[in-house]
Amino acid sequence: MNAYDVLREHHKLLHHLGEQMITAPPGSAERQERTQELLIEFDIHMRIEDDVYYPALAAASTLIAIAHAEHRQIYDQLAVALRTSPKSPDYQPEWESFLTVLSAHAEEEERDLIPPPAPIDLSDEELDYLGREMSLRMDQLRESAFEKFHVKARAALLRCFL
Amino acid sequence: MATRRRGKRRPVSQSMAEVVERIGQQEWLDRPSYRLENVLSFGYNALGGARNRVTNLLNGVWLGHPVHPPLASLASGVLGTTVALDAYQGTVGRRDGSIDAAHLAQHALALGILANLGAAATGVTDWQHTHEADRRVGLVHGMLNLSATALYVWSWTQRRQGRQLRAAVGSGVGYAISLSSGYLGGHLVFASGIGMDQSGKRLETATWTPVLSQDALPENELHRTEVDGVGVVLCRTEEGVSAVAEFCPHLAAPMIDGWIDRGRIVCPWHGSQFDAQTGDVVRGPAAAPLPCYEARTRNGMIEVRGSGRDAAPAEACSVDELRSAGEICSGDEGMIA
Repeated sequence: MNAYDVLREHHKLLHHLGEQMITAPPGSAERQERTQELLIEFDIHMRIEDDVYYPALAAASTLIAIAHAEHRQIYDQLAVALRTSPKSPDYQPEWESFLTVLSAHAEEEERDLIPPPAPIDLSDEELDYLGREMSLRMDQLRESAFEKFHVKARAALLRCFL
Repeated sequence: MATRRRGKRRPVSQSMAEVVERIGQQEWLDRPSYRLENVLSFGYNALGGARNRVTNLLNGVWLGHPVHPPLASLASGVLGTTVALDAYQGTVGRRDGSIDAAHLAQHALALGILANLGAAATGVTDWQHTHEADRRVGLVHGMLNLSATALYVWSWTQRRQGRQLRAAVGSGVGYAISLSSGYLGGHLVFASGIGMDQSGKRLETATWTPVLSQDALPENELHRTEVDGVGVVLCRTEEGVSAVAEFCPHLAAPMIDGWIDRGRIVCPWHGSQFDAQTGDVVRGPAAAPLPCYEARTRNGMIEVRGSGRDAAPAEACSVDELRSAGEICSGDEGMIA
């Protein structure tokens, strides 16, 4: 898969995990499990974009700056959703807002950066290489115990900040 | 009379502009600046439920524009006073019967340090949402101010120990750094428009203009249209139809790429939230409200009009009357047609 396909597929995966998470009963073990899965994949997504994809598109600096801003917005909304109690009437709406901002970012990215605008012109070989690099990094992060601990610890901390 | 030939000098403004441009090109600053933003983001989120209240306060939502510039002006004023009092003390102040300028300088410096800390808190809250060259220039501006503030603090401790000369030199050097940094800050405002309302051209058309069939705008959807060459974003919430400017006042993000979340229009880039009916900022970083025009539905069409002064006298009717007639109007300054 080339870089574009990797990103599109991962957007689909995030969307699917988001659907599963939001339909699981609030406060249930299933909800926690689904949330954790989503958070890990979301973190992986941010990392492959920030560390691999965006640097390769550095010439599209304005769009990359916007993409960074959108990441920040998603992260801030995630913090709000995490600190909202499952018993609160705002719980579902806050998680729905999180999925909305996540979807908006994915849609804008697919519209503006996949493929990126001129003057960036990545060859098929470069796109394949980039895609392999991103897939490899994703696999590494999925198998990393530290990554799981990092995401879990950050979520736990954000939940504490009431 | 013999005239002395001079080499062609470049204007100071050109040299300064080149320095700023050079700073703006330092892309290597991006990585540390995004790392810093991550730390800041965690810090703000650690405020929990108070996060929005604190960031709104620092962004200047309550004021309608950023708080950083007035605080920076205050800091610059009192720190300049400190330097002037030090100069007075070092010259005239040594004479018998002169005022105790050293004592006054110490108080002025303390106030300057406090103002600088306030300017730093508000400035970094604004800076974290800037992009590209502005972000790099803003980072250098912040680092220079931090260095100057460290010198001011050092100067203040020296004053406490009675070392007036060292203290005066420390404040003087700090003030020189502050002046250079102030030039960068000024560039961010006057050249890049950071902190200025960037919502663009306002709709002034005074007459009602039909723009869209009301059936074409589902609830919680946004739709962009143009009236007299001015972009307008229509939205429909439970409260009714409203019309707002097409660009976010913060950094001109296209609001059509945003979405509606529980009666608020959300900016797609930095997450500023605006009341869909009034345009008031609910959550920054935008400090200025999103311009909001009057909107109504007539004969199945959504109509909008701007706030032109030559607006025809509107039919007098209350909000309740309009709601009962299926017409909801919203607009600047609570204007209800």
